[in-house]
Amino acid sequence: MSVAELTEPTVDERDGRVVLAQRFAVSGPGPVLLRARLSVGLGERGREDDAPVGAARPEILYWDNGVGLRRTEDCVVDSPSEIELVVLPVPDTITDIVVSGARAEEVAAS
Amino acid sequence: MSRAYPYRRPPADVVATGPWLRVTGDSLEELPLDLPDWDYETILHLRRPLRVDGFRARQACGLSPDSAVTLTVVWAAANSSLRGQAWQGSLPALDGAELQIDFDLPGDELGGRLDLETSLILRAAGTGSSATAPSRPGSVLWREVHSVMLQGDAVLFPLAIVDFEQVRYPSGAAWHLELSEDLDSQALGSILLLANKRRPVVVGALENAADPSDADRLVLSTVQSEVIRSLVERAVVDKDFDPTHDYATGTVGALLASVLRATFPDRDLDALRRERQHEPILFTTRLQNATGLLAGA
Repeated sequence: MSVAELTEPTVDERDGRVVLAQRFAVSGPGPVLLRARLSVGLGERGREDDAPVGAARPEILYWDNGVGLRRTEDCVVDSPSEIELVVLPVPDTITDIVVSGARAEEVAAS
Repeated sequence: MSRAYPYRRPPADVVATGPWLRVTGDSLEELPLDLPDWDYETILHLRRPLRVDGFRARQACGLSPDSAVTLTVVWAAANSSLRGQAWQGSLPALDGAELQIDFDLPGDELGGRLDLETSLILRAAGTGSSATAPSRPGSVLWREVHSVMLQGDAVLFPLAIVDFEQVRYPSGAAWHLELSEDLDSQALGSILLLANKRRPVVVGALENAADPSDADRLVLSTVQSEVIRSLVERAVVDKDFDPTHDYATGTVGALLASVLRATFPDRDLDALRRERQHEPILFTTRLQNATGLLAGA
């Protein structure tokens, strides 16, 4: 099971909001539970893993697998498949996006 | 991991960069990656031709044609941690604009690795720009960094020639290396090689360092060996110095770690400390060997 980035994140306008959209390909044994880790990027100094209390953080708007939109933090998809992640960034900041996958059955059993 | 800017940016090919060029007198040559003959009195006269698609860059970002975009060059010196703007010019909203970067960089604030960062910067978004376009003045649309090593691997220090009668050091000494106690201070501002004006053999050799005579070489080899010995001794004696600590680039601590590594690549600091304490004469001989005292003279 693997998750590969098909595109770089692109800035787009959806429903009047400026968002980031990135496509991923899922392959191997499925179904696969996808998780996105989003953080504010700090230029060349790394990323903001521990945001200050009350600070805005990038949010997942939805996952789009071509069939429907899922407005959840995690997303279970068939394999192989392609999916688009749409993120609402914190204004005027760089966003770091990491998407990882695990076999949904193993996650449910643990 | 993917990294996304909060605004659209143009494809890299909107800027076709030419080579960095160094102007020396009437000649023009491509700037090499190393400038071993550079010193703090060198003024670097640099040029770089570029061809920029200013209209396409704005369009790709969602910026209207009347948006103000600037091409800038910022220099940054690793030794001093100083940076500053070297050059800037407006980018016209037309494709195929030929621009020529041209500036002088005085050597007194440089040293070590010199980074030349060329960027396209938004100065003001025009009316009718897209919501996904950059809007904040200063937004970076495109950037590229070119690095040059000044002085190669040689360790150069700021040098001053003074009359030791006028300073607090013994008046008959030939030179003295001043070095800050603070391991985290910037080396460039904390280190100074003082040469005694009353020792013309030494002063002359230092002044002729770029083209030394045979006699000058003897003096320079001795000064170099003694300077390295002073730095190694400082590292060995200073209990607060830890070569495994991650000293920031350009600090006294980083300099000592680098000199120690270059002088004794196969010996750890504890072994050196033990040897200096128990066999100081052998330690001094080992330093002569490591620094190649009079080897090339």
